[in-house]
Amino acid sequence: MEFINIKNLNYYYPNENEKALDNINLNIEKGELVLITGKSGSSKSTLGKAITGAVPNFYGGRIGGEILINQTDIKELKDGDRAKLVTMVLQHPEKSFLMDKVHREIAFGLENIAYDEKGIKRRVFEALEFCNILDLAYRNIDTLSGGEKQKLAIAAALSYSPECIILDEPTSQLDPSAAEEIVNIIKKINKELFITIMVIEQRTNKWLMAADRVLFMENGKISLDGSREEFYQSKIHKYNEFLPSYLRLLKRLNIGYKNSLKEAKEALNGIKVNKIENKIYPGNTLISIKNLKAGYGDRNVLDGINLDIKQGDFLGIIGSNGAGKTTLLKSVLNLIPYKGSVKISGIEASKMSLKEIGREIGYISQNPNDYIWKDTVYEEVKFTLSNYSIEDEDLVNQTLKQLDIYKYKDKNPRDLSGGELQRLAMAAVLVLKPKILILDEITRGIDPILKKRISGLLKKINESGTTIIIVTHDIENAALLCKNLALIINGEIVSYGSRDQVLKDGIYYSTDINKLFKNNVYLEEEVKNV
Amino acid sequence: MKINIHPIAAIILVLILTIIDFSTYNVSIISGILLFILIVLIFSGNADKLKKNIYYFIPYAVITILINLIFVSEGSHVIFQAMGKKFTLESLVYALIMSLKLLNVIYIFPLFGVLVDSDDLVSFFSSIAPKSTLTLLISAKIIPRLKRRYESIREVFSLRGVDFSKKRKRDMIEGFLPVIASLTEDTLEGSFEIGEAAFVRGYLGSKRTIYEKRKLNSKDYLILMLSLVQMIFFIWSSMNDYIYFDIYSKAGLNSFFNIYVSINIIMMLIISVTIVF
Repeated sequence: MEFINIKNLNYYYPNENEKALDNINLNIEKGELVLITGKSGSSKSTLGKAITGAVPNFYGGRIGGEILINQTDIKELKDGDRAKLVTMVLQHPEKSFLMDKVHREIAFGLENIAYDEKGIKRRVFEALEFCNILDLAYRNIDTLSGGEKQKLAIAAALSYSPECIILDEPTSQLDPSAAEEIVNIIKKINKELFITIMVIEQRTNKWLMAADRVLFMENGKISLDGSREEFYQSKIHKYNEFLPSYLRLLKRLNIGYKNSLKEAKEALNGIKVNKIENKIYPGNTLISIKNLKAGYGDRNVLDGINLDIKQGDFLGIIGSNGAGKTTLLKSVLNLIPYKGSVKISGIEASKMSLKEIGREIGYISQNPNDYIWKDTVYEEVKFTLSNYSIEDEDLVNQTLKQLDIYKYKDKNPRDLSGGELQRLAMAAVLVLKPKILILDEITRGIDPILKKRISGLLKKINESGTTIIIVTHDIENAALLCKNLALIINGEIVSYGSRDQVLKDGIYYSTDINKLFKNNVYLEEEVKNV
Repeated sequence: MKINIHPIAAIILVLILTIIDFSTYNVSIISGILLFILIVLIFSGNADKLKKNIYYFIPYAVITILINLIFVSEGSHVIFQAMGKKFTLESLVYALIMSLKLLNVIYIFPLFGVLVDSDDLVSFFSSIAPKSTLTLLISAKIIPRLKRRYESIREVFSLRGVDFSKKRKRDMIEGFLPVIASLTEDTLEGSFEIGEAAFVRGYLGSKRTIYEKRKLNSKDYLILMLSLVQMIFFIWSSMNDYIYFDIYSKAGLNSFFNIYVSINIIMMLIISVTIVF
């Protein structure tokens, strides 16, 4: 049954001459689970927001064409009626919560649509129970984890009992276990309540298996609209980057679509691959951590960490959200007080000023926007040098060229795309030529093509002699980049060694490809001599 | 722990306390307001809020005392003389009264936070004045977010070599410029995101209903009644100069503590006890 019908939809953001949505024609059936994927900036979210009416009613801009929901033009729907039909879980729900308590946040939406006061409580608690977070009902939202906040946002959307929920990157900020829980809840909403689901995601790993239909967007247009099998079988190379690694491998081996690792394992039965040994890189110790304990206030997060980081290493610190990865980084950078010892090039970190540490270690935070305040890319990079009283224009230009952003040197950093901004943040610290580069979850929420580009760049930087430490819960990316890995669980390093040593015996912390072969092969690219 | 009285009762009570604090120089009444706040915060288990807010008060109090001592020479009780200038006991007491008034204003904010549940407040005002509530809500939500962003931006810029501990004012301001620039952008972006979330969820869309509708109970009525009586008595005693106090006009003991002042203070104590127990 036709539910959402979009005809010739065109949209321009205010003061923009380029179309954000370009002649979109789309029919969505009731009860479908649709995955919308594509590169960053391809207008996936804009499409979702157009269906909710936020585009153009909230954003402004010019719109043409029609969006019909149940044969009614959304322009004719009142805000409250529209919200009852279609609701959206925005990309960063924690930024958009309006109340303090969990149960009040859910009730807030029902109050907005003037839901019968006698029935609100029942809806609130049923939605909480459906999402398996009833125990959080009276908790303060600030105290919830990322995954719990995402479940709350979904429960709030579910409480309307809408006909369609649109989710904007619901798992991009979460660790694999939290992401899996979210996928299961969404599948349950779709299968048991028959609510139409539209998921906007760049990381398709978990969603592809759940989706009835896949839309691929490019430059505001839908370039593919088909089943997951059609998406898999497409001859267009760029779609491959958005496939989970095990499907990329199957495709390379000319095996048909398989909807689970189990099916893939059966299809690969009898296929053997050669072992590839991962070399351990020897070098001098640059950072020496002994019996490190650190935390926030009374809460101890790290409990007796011991770790030596060698020159030239590419170390991945892996583990779930809240395991203590970022706390470890902050201790090394002397951003939080610690007990024990952290020595950087032989000097205790707590005895160094942040300026001195900045000379030794370049730090890239999760948010590249933290690095911009000047009006041009060139000025932004030069700013770091000026703080150390270094005037060297050649060094600035050389760094911009190294990161392939020299062509944007006179551009305003605010006009750069996500990937360009990420490279600018790297340039802003690499210009000091630090011995060590630390990156905190920088591939979180970025599309696979951009991730590949940044990964390539990091490999080159490492090959040129810079020691790199990345903190991530993206195991596939860590396996691709890292020479050594440290797995942190509950504030302790439970496994440390070469990439192969750490991933080999992993039940959970390993790659899909390793789960398929169990033969020291961790990435699709490494499957050779089949 | 929250006391959770009706938003209307809390707002009226806090407004009355603020008006009294601003409109009198009688040190006993001002101390009475402080006593009221101390009783409510301590007996509701929120004594930590007193400690937290005193840090904001100390620098302002020091500045007020210094400025008043330096620029006001009125009064007959000279404490000491320096550079041909008299430093009087009256100007010191006046500055202390002003500081006490300021301390009350600082403590009134956490007091309000304890008296009323913020979700109750949002829900209540959303049904009366949704647009203004959204504006206030955006401001309230943006502050903790900015605090987190401030930490993260400061860390990044410290590691990029910015020295935030420079002593010269000009250098210090220069150091903070990148942080301020980033935070300004973030404020706009954050406000937009909250507004968008409210729009998507149908806020401002139609008539609203109220979840867990808060009705005025007997305690709320009692607090309202006592607060209004307090206000009326304060106005009446002020208009008749019964509680008038000016340190510079040779204040006697009777002018800052008499039966009318005592009644004002006792009423405040009665309200505080009603709230807590």
